[in-house]
Amino acid sequence: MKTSPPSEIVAGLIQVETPPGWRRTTYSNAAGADLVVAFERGADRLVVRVFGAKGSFYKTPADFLAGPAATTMGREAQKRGAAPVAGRPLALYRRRFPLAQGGPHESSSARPRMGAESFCVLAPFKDGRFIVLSHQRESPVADPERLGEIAWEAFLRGARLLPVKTNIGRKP
Amino acid sequence: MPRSLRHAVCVILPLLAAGPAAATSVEADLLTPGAVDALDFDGGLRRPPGVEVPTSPGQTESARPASAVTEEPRLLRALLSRVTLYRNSDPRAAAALQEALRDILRTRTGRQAAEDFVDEGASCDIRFDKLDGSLITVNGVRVVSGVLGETRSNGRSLDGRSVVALNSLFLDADPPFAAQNMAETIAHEMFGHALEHQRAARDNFPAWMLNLYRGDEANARLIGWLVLSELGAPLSDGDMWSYLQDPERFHDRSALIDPYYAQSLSPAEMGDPLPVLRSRLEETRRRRERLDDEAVKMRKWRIIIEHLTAGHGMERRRFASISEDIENFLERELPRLMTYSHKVEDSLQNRIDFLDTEPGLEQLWQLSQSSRSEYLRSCEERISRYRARLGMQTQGRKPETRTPPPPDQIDEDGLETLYQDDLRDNPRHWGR
Repeated sequence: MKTSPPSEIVAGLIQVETPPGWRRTTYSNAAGADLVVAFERGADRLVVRVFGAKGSFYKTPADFLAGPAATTMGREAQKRGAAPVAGRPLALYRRRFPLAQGGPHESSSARPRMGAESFCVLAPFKDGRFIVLSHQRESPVADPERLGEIAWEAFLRGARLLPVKTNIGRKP
Repeated sequence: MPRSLRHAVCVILPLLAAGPAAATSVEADLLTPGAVDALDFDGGLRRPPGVEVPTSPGQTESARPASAVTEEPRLLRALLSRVTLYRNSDPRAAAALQEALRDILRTRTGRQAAEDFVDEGASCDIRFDKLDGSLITVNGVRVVSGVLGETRSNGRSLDGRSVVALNSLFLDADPPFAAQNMAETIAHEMFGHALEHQRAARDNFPAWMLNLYRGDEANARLIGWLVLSELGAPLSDGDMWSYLQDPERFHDRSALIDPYYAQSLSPAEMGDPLPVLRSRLEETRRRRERLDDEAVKMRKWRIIIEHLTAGHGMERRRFASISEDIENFLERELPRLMTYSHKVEDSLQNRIDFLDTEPGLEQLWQLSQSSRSEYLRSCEERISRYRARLGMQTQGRKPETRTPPPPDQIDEDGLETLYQDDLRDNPRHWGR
């Protein structure tokens, strides 16, 4: 955990403005193939995920949209309009996702507690990688002040794709 | 909302010698190999009167009806040669265990794991036990709320084998719930924990270290989820979806919620666990502040619902489900999360303190030495394969719940929209 710089380049593909005062975390899934950079404050997270590299859990945006990270426990995400991202309008999706229930001794027989996520999927790069930007609220409680949503809107406005040549030759 | 404690406890017990009285009691419950055959473990066939089935290796398959010579009976028999079942005092127990094993072997993952179990010479005992929990009714369905099962390794059974214990409350739960969850629980405990403990022992990977390895639980949970999925059961376990969507985040969040997960480590983290544990300690404290903030926000939603019903005349019944969620969160969930947060903090602090002692430094060295072991590498590969398989299986599955809420209920998104609309149309209602 470090103090965030004003902006960050993720995987040499995209530059995002980091919201002031939010904590940055980075990690990967799928044995390093799926990079995640997240900025967090309270229950809100702004997340940049890179999929589509060799070994990725999702090979294409279509795989992602059908999978567990884009559905509400199997139900398709809802389209909620569009927003300009890196100079072009992108569809925005909304879904609910289950929050970690507790230890391995615990689970729910009833409906799990659900957080909420808004996300958009950027078109794949030449090497097949693609980026998903999202705002996750890791709480069953919406914020009546919408502070996370306000930061999300600014996050999308500040995202900038890097020149194509930067994208060539890097595969995790 | 109602919660239920789940299975998946892997209990590594010290070598406890069972007393003579306990041994007598267990022996009285034991189904001997002969008795196992008498239980009709032949793959679901009901023998017509007069039809003999082989009861020993010396008898030939031709003595059996042709339809019985299938993969499932062969595997079931092989499996049962490695497993001892206990009858317990409840006459329903034997049939329930029988049915659960059959269900497991109807699944691809269950069959593969059973083959591994047999091929690798693993063994265990399975029994019903009185475990923590109670039966609760959720939307008319009687479910087990409590520990669904556990694996006790290292010397609890008469011959030192692992013991898989199922909660005896299953016998009185809603039959579809019980059937699916018993299959999941046995698969989880038997092919996850019991088998893995024996693999680790074979590979000289210490049991205490396996208990710290987060993959031990992840592997067992994936096996259980796969069996559930392949049985066509409702995929209503939030943890399954949570794990699939982002395994690292799942482990990260789980470590802040439960003392067991708080100490668990990835192979990389085993190489240098202290910074990880210290970071979790710091994050646990931050999380408690966040929970306070969530309580404040949740109470505000209670006020918003009251405004929409009393002030705008909306039907109160349409908010019943979400109101129940809010009340359960504030009255049950939040206090529980707070309690566990303190337990996590104590657990982490104790662990950090221990690792500063001489035996702790020895453990650090051993963890570091084992963090790149071949055993862990093979575990990680298997977990990746299981995750990929489960990910494929969940594609196209419709949302399912065993306990659907009543129709016409306003959900979280609906409530948020109502509030934002009212805020826009009637700002004075909200002091703006």
